[in-house]
Amino acid sequence: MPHPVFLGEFEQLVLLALLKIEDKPYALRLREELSQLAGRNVARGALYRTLDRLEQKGYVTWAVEEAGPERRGHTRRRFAVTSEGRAVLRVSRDALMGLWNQVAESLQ
Amino acid sequence: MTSPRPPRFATWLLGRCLPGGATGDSILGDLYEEYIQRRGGVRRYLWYWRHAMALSTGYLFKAGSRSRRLTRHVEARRRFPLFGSDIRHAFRIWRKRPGYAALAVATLGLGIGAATAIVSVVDRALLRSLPYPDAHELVTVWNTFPAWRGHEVLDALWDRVHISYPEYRDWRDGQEAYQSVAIYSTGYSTLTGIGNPAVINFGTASASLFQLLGTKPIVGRTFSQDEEADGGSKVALVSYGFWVQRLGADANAVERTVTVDGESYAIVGVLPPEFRLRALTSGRMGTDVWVPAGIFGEANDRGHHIYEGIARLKPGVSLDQAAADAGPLLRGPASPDRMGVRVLSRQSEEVSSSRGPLMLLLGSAGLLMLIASANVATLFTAEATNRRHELATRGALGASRGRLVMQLLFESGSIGVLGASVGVVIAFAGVQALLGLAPPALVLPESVPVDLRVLSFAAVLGVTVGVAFGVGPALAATRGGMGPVLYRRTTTGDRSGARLQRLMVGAESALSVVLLVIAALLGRSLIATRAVDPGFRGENLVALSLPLSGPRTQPTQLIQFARELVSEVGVLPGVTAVTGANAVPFSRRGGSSSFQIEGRPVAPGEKMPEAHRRTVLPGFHETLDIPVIQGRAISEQDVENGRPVVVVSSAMAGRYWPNESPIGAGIIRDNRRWEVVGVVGDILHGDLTAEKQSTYYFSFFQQPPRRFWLLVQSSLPPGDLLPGVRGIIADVAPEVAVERVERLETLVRESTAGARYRTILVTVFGACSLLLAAVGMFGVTTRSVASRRRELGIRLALGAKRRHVTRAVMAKETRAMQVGVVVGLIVAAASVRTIATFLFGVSPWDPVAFAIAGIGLATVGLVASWVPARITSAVEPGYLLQVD
Repeated sequence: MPHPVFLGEFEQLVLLALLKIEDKPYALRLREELSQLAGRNVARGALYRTLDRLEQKGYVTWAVEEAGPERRGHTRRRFAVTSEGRAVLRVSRDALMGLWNQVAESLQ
Repeated sequence: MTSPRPPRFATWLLGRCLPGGATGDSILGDLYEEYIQRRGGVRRYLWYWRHAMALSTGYLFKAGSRSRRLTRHVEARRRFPLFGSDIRHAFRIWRKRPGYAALAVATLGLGIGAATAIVSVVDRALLRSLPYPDAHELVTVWNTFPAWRGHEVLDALWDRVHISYPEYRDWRDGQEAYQSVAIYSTGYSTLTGIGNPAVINFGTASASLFQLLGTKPIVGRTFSQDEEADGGSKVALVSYGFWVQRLGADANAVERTVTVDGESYAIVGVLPPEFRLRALTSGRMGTDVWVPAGIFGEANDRGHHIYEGIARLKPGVSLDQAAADAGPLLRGPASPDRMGVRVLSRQSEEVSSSRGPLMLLLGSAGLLMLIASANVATLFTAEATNRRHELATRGALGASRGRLVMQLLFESGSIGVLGASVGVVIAFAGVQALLGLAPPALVLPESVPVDLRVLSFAAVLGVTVGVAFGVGPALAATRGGMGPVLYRRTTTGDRSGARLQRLMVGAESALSVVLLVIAALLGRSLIATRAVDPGFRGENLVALSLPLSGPRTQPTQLIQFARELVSEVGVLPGVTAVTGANAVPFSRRGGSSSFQIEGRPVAPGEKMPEAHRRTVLPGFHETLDIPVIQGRAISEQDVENGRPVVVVSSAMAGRYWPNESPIGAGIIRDNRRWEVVGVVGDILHGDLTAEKQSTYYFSFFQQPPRRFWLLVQSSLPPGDLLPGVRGIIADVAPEVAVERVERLETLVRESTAGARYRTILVTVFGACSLLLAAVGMFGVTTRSVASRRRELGIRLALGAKRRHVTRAVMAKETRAMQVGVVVGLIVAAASVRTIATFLFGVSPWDPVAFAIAGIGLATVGLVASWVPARITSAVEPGYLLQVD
């Protein structure tokens, strides 16, 4: 049972984008997707730091892939959401949905 | 195709700041992948820098940073456990006071930018070695004619006399101090047979030149020694550019021929693209066609000095030893006091013409850098003093003085780094401007990349200034007990901060005055130069240079050609006069020759008289509006078989016939007697700052020249006039190409381009320094009135007049500036002698220039001080007493 923590908005966006793209994206692809989802340009540094944080929390994992001259031989990290990550997303969604439902009328 | 390389230094920096392993590596890869997808050039380069810097700082300042270096640093240096927090604090301060940060960064950026731009150009132009293997071994060899020293016409040439082919042959065969010696000569000639006739750069070189410079042809071979001199071969080497543009990069070029000045040469090789030998006398580069030396019949003429000498020294041989070795060989039978030899480093000779101007700019940029530093120091002091309360609070809460000083240093150091970044951007633009505006006479490299050396220079400069000028204010602000500050009492720290600020304003004013004096002197000198009367009027005159070759150089053909051209061009609509000469003033062409005056034999060993020689068509003096002082000018009656006549300039008449009229006197030249029939006004030949020198004019018909300039006077713009003139030239002589087309007015104006360039740049530096001094003065007064609000409020409340209060504030605050102005004027007076070579028509101690600089700065300083003083004294005294 995951610890009942809530995710920040950007963390949620990152995890959702990772789930949406099926072929384990690397950071550049993820950033494009996020920019579309969020409707704004996503700062490169913010994305990397969020990914690091999510990895430390155990919600994201990555695998190293070798690359060719198009990256000057630098490796690629392909990210994926862990089962803990999925679980915490669910908790977040449920908690938020509960709250949304409770305030639904006052928002009408 | 190779993929582009991202900026190396930025990648290196980012690599140091990112975490290790796959995380950091993949981030580098991501950035690179985007980098290569962007479109090229400077924007892409800057894009990479911006993102690399953003990522670096992001990882560097991350709480609990994983940066390897930083982690090690923090662990190893327990004394500064809050390193990261200092930097974060610095960022917070800038966000809170963006005006202060922006001003400091902009000031520093300006200084660093100017200094970095000039240093980059100086580095490339003066310090880098020439693009040849073991370039330090290369030397230039000149003949010298000591007898020419002090001569009216020849003095400028005496220590740079060219070498003749026989001298070279003796030198080559007898020398022992050199690995190899070579000669070359460059000029321009007419190419025919490939497209329309065209004028190309044409050179002759000894076979040894290419081997000496380590040049390997990309196609074919270079010359061999037996192809030189009499009995040599009509063979040619072509440049890479010529091969591509004229021969279509034909792989079989060595089977083809080129026709230059009517002579056909078999191509034996193509030189590599990087071969760009610079001729020292003309500054010309990019010779298109080279042929072997000595094949034009000059191989046995010892007096035919046309070649520049270049040689490679043997290891360990000094310049003096090399000169001693070459001296007797080049001199031949002449005595040592008649002829000498100079051996100079090739590197220093190639840059000798640009060294002076570049050093002047370097000095000016250095002064501006110092002024910017002083200005930043006043800003740092003001900032540190303003924050004494905050610092005192932190001190009271347990921060040591060392910690507080460290924090202020981080702030000033990081301002330095940002200033350096702005400076690099300014430098980048500045270098383009420096190269773009440079006159052709100033030999500068074609491109100057802003490379790692330059970036490191800017970074070191920024951090050094930031830290060095941050230490004083930081120590001053944290000096004395912290308690009194909290009770809002003035302390010694406050006073010493103010003292430091005034000291800096004084220093800034002094430096600024020096720069302004130099700018004013150069400006007045340029005005004086422009006001010089060249002795002729060039308005509405267009000159066309027509190099002649082959049968066209035969006297009868040339005269017929000139006559036809003049009569046909003369009837073109809009043309008011047509004439011609072997050279026109300010075209940097035309030479001098020696003569003898009838009845005044020249003793053996004595130098023959020498004067500028011009060969002109009738109407030359009238068209250029050169006045006839006595007798007449060259006219239609001076035809081929007429009486040989010559017209002399006023300076020549005064020099050789000081107390008599030269009319009727005889001049002996080419074993003929030429009768002086007129005296005309003096003209300048290429330098408005030169003395007017002896010149004599022959009739074109009696002394047909090899070079021919057609001069056309017309009220039409050249664009409307030229097609008609070119059409006539093509009809009359299809093989003649037009080498240059110049407006005489433009030629005269362009002769001052070097002076204008220097003056503009130094004036820009001077204006920047004035602006910085004003900012400094404004800052000091503002700070002073802020700290004296209560006192001023009380004085106003007790009935003091506003203007008295304003005046009292200004009197105190501008004193440092006034002292600075006086010191600056003294320093300038003591040092202007060093720029005397750049001045014309003004004394280095010109009182007007000194007055402009002193009064200019003092006025700007007074206004900058008056504004805050006046604003403060205009406020209600009650408000001044309340606010704190």
